Amino acid sequence: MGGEDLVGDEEDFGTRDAGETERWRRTCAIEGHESEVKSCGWSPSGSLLATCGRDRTVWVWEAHGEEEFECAAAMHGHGGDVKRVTWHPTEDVLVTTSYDESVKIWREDADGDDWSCVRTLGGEDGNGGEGHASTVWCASFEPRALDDGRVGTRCVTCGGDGKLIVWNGKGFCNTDLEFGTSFECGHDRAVLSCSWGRNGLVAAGGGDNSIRLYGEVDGTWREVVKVENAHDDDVNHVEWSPHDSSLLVSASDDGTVTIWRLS
Amino acid sequence: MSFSGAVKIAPDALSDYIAPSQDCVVALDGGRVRIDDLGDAGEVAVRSRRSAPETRAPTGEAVKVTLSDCLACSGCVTSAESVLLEQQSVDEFLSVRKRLRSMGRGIVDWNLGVIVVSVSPQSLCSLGKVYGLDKQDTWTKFSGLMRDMGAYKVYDISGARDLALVETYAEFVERANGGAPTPLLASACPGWVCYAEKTHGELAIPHMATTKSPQQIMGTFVKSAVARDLGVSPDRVYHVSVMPCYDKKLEASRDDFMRGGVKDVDLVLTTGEVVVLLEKAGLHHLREAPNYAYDLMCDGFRVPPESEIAAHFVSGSGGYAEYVFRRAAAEIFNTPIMGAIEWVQLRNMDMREATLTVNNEVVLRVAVAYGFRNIQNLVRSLKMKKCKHHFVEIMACPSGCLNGGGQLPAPEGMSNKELVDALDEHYRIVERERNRVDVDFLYRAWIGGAPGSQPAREILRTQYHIRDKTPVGMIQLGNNW
Repeated sequence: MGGEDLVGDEEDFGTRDAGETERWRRTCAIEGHESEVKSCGWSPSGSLLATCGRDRTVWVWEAHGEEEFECAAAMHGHGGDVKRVTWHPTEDVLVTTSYDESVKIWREDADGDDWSCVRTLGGEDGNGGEGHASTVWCASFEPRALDDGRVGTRCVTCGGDGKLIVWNGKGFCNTDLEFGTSFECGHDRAVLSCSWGRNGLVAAGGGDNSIRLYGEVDGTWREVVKVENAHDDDVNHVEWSPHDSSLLVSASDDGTVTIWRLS
Repeated sequence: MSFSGAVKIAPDALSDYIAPSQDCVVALDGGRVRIDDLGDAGEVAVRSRRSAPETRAPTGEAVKVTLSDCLACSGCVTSAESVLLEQQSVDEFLSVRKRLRSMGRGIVDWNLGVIVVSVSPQSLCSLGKVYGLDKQDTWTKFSGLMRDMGAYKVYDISGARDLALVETYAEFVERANGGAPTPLLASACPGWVCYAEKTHGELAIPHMATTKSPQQIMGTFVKSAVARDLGVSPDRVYHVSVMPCYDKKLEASRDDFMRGGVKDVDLVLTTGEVVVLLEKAGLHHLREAPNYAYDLMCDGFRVPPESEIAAHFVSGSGGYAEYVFRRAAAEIFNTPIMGAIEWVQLRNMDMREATLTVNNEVVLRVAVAYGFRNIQNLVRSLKMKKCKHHFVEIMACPSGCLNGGGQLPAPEGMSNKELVDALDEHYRIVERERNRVDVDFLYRAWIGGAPGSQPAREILRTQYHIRDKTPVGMIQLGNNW
């Protein structure tokens, strides 16, 4: 795998006026967060929407048609800015990552009346388990159907400590997580985004402008591809295409979005 | 988010009111005041997130944030709890007691002042359940404890709560007759009031019932009728209220509840803080406190209308929705409710609705909405002009006031849910047995007018304020915050 490389195809998407265009129509505005909203995401069932933000809260919204959303839960628990919401790939179970250095797992209560945090990994309330030593920026689940036929059950997180942590799934549909392994990655600054691809590789982008790919070889995680200066500024987001397992997209503070092909 | 000093509350309890979610932004030099880094001295140190060492304000003086600052600022949704603790604490109570040289048990230095305590039924319910005492014992032991701690009079707030119901209904009728926009929102919950003023002022305030909360009605009563009875000026009466809720401390600090520089409620202690007081008195159990009779707002009881009994029997949060529904059904729609109202659960247990159908048409819709998420949905429906309710009883805590953030935590081995259920059951029994003060008499003798009359409006109602988003609250901090 060492010979593989990422080939970039940069595209400047530019900026466009917010609001209505010929093809897009604003159907609904959801308000409730007190300040910056950092992340949002659809649940696998499509009926729920999660949001999180600087006000330290995590919200779950229930869709009633495309123009109506009801707040199913507004949850306190994180001690700091909540950076990212990530849904489990098949179940309506939510993972959040935060400035408080923890990863939290949220799910609906047994009586279906409310949502609550069922586990905290790392951070002050992390039950003494291993975790990140700085802001946890992002989480990504291992795809259920991997290209080599295996069934993914794990989750990876990345942090300001320059580490990636792989959490092993356990319990019902592997919706619960426990510490698996942690490895330093080559990034010498915060790792801001990670994405676990169908090809089994974890892509990571960071504050050092680089994009790196990590592969598991005989149970050990190693850097297999490195693109230094992939962007001219922080790489805020990397994501594998769910359909084409060699296609990666990255977004950066340099104002560009780049599509990469793993060759 | 931790409380310093002697106040002990369950970590869970913190999540059941609208918690401050951001660091306080009130500071002289534009720096932020870190709520969780407050010093022991009650001083607020200015600290920026990324520079670890503490930096003091330029003058060398620590920046002091008062409750009034909290109320005026929109930096966070509710208050800085550390500020509340500093100004509204057990220690503050003890220092006032010392200052007044109040020995309790009737020994008062009238030149210095007199301590009057009023207690919410939710606090008594929590104390009774956790200490395993029946209604009568809880009352006399609580009264005995407070008298040992310097109180001259100890009142039950229930009477003020009955007044709040009657006056809220008068307001409901006025609005219905005047064609005011629906719904009317019961606004006795300070968490809701604070949130509404700071984030949805223009939208929500026209809907908010202006009838004061039971605590503030009691405050007005103590500083007028009780002070007059005792023959002292209102500023010589130190009024302490005991509440299931931290945000009541904030409510008591509103300028609207101050007349001639005298606050109607000087200090609010939570149910949990009563336990701290108990420990300070050297007692291990409420049972060890002396028995002492409690005081009544007026002599003479009455048999109240069923609507009033049912209100408290059904709801641990004041019973506004139940009361308004019953009276409106009987008096506006000539369809008195016999037996129980059918409360239909909407999207969760804390969102319920009752409807009255006359001639196959729904003529009255009343709802209960507890907890932050249901407040969100309600505000959303207001905004989209889709709210069909005529009246909504709003409380910020999930499960309402019995589950207030200031209540005693569940004993070991009991979940919070089980505790709330147990409190609910206990409360119903207590409310069935409770003697009712004569509300009509209070309207006549104290207020000097009928419900909704000019004197009643002056004494029993308040106002709300739109809190602008202040520039200081909008400070953007770098570093990916």
